[in-house]
Amino acid sequence: MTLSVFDYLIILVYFLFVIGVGFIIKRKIKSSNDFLRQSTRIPLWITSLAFISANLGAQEVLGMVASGAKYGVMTVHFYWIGAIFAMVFLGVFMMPFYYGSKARSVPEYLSLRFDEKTRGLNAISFAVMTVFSSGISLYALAKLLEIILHWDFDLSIVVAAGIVMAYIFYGGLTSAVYNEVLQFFLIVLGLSPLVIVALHDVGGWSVIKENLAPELTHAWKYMGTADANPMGIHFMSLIFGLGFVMSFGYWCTDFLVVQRAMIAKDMQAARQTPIVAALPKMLMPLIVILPGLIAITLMTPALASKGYSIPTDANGGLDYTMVLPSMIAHYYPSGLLGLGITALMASFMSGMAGNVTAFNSVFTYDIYQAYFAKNKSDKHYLKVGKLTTVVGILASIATAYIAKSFNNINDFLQLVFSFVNGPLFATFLLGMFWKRTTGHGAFWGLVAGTCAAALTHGLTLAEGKGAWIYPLAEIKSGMGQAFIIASMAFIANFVTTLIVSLMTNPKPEAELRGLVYSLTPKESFAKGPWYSNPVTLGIILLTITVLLNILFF
Amino acid sequence: MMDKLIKRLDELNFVIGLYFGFVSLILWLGYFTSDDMHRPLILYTALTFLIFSGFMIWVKGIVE
Repeated sequence: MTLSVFDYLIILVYFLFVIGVGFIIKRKIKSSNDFLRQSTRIPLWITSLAFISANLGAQEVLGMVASGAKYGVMTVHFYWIGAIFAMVFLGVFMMPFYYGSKARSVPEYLSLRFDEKTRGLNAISFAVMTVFSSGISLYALAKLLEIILHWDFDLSIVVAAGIVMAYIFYGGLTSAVYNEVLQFFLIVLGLSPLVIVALHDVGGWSVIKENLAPELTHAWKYMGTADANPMGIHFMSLIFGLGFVMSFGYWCTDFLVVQRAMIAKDMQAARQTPIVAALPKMLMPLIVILPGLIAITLMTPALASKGYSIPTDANGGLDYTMVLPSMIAHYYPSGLLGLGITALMASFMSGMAGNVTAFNSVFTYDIYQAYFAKNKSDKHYLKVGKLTTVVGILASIATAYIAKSFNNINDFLQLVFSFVNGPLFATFLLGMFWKRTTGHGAFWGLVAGTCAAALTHGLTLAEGKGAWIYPLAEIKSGMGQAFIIASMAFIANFVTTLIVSLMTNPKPEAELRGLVYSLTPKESFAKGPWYSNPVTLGIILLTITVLLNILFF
Repeated sequence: MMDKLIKRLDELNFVIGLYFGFVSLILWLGYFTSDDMHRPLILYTALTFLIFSGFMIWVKGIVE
């Protein structure tokens, strides 16, 4: 892949604009709240697009295209089952507690609802996860640039990390959020020409359906048994593991995404943020799954004349991760290549910045201020927030080099995610909807859930991974194993929290107002127009989601 | 004029419009100097970006 001067110009303009946004926001940063939360009244369209853009990192873009090629239409479950329902649930039921409690972060909500030890456990595990996640994004970006453009790995790391640091250091969270919106448009508009031209080249959706095996073009039809579909998952495992535990665990409790709704201008906008975001999220498969399906169709004998093939890895197998870069190289002429590369860079930077800003807030508010320096001046916390940005970026660089040394670190990270996020939703579900839940119950529930996840991983084997205690059961795919791990973690947390809560004393009801469903006054939307009501919007979105599932059944 | 422009830099939609306007301009330049057989793709992309850019710069109701 050779870039022309115009391609380099597109990349250069992108760099200038993202840093420029940081400088524009810089003027408004006067307090730690401006830096770590919001420096202006951020409108709904911005918080909504930032909400999905924070999740539109490397894993989402490259990973979903790869899954589209590997698993076919079934990949849409990560959107239509694994995201939309949880996003609507967050907007309708959970945002009133996050926003109404005036908590500045998810761990701070845990401290208000439960106690300091539950907050500390969640804050530390989250901070470690975000640094690792940010480092993996950085590593993946540098690796991609090294492979497809033969750019120097070290230089790519320094430049990408330097740019992200510049715009967060100057503009804080608002700058990251504004850039996420720019990056969202860049990803969507930068990859749309690829989808259109590749779909035209392959001959349209009917040709894809004619040439691919039927289990690759149906979302549900072959899920009656695990052996009949490429993911190796039974529909019940999918609904409970992905559709309930993993999906709600991520979209409803992960501060990285919830933070974007928590900085909305008012309660109504905070509730509408995930619901409005669900609409573009629902359509994302067109950008990130369809190219994968087209790629695998182009590999069929009938379309061999098109001259495209998915690159192979060192073992001679198909390297699905390289599907998107190879399609950009195949279809984009010189002069447009820079746009494709910039769209990829935007996805990596967006993922990295999201993690760094979430790390900033959690470290400053939930670790530093909560345990090390309680009553310092606001200026002091602003300094700490800025310093944490630098430390977070440096830690990400270190993690990127660790990832370079261990080629399976991404698998390890995914495992850690399922250990930590899997059980977390049980804590919130019980905490928000059962006033009897206690701090001891929540803490030991989290510990039990994480232990159950580790135990399940140690006793199950999937694609050669796991079973480090004893190979008790074999699971067809790593994805199926992740769903089962998350499900076991959720159940263990739920049961433990329930039992320990019944054995310990709950907080007085007066302290739980605004934090628990039954003790919080319900907001009425009867007077406003229908589109301002999160419940009405949620019902419309869920109806469309059900229809899409039927259409691609 | 310049003051107005600088003031509008506070609006995210204006900045996004400006960015896509610049990219569109670069794509146009690339189109006129390219002899690649896929030139029309550059043209259509440049045109789409220009329309999107104009819309984002023109619209005012989505900012506070």
